[in-house]
Amino acid sequence: MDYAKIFTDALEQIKQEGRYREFADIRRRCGSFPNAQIFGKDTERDIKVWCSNDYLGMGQNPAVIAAMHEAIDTAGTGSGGTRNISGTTHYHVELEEELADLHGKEAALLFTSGYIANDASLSTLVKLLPGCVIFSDEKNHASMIEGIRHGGGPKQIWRHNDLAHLEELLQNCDASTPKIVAFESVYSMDGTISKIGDICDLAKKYGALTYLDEVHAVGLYGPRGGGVAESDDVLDKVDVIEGTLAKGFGIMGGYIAANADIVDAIRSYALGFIFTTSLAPAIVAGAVASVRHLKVSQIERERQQERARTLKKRLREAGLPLLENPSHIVPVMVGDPVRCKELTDALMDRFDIYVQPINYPTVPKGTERIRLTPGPTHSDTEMDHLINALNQLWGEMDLQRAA
Amino acid sequence: MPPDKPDDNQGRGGSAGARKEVYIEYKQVGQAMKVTAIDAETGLEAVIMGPVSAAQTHLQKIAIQKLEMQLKKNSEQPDDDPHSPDPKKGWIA
Repeated sequence: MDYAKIFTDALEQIKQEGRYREFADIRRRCGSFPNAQIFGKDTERDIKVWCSNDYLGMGQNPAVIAAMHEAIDTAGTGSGGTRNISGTTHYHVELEEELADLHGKEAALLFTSGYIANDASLSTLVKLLPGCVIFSDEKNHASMIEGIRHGGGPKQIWRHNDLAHLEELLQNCDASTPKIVAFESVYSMDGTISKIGDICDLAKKYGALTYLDEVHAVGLYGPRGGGVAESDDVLDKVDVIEGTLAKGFGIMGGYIAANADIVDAIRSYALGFIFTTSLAPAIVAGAVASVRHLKVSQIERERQQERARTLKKRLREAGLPLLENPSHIVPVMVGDPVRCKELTDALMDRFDIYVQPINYPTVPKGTERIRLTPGPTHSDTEMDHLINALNQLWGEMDLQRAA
Repeated sequence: MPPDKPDDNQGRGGSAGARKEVYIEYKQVGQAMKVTAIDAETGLEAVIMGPVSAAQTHLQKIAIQKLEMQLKKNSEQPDDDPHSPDPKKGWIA
């Protein structure tokens, strides 16, 4: 068996399709988001980051940084074990209480990432509910799809944000069958937002639990950063809310919040929770500081929303093909993986602008795009520079403009 | 609706459950609003923090829901629960 050839052939295939992923070797400048350095073969230079999921710049927030420093000085570096074997520190307990409070739930549970939170929680829920059918929005994230798959139960896919289709599928399911409706609030690549309250009402009508992924919304939406469910005032309608600490809160880790019984069941059965070392105390302490800060501070949210609105307006004025949506996410369509990569390479090489190309399988083939994520600290000058660069490259590369 | 911003305000702000009387206290702490929901019968308190600019009705609702959850939790833990740790005796393992 020529193992090497199998791997190189697999790589060659995705290279030919123009979707081989190259990571940019960067280092963010502390306290100076969106400034960063990029490291090349023999050089390093300053760049502006326009594709970070640290949406609010909380990874550079002084209170968060101080909390992480203090935790290292107090408790050292690693947690020392799984949650069950010496890895539950007081920081973990505090953070779970903060997150339960954030979402108006009885309890919360930390995971090492949002991906793991979805995979472990959804698979465990399906396994614990005999014969459970999952109703999954067609644009759900890969982590939800994997969690549903690992649960091993039947699933029904409903058309994206199509409530009539969801109801049709729910109607066709036996009333006595356990059901879970799994969906997101903000869909990360298109920026669409779901009607959480209406979906929950439908789920309740047909006796289904609701599982809502708010990873692209927590910290960003709602008066206290509790996500779209909070801004829509429907927190109490959702059974399980899943979130991340890596995007709006600027650090890393994932979590669920729900009633105490559901959280305790997942805590007790989810392999992805049980058999892994818990998050480092400094990470958790930073997350506590970040969550607490965003519960009382609106300025980051207001500024980010303003920056997103302004950037969208500027893109429209420039005739660039913005994918319209109601969220903070700013997708600009390219429609070809090779050209998408050429575009982002040129932005970096010639304009010191870092934007990652978004290609298949993250988005369907033919819908390749760049995904801009303006944050509260992106200045007008930086936005001018971005728009001018995009405008120039769109012309040079003869890319399709907005209709 | 522009939010009210009392610096130190207390009153009968809502009802947790059919027979419950709840007192709501608002206290501004810097840029934050501390909202305390107090069960008149037991004196149990639930505290939440929110932005000063948030609508008081929103913060009040969240505080009352938190209080309701704590009351529910307390009602599910009887005083004579043999599993409750006795600070004098400790656990028998």
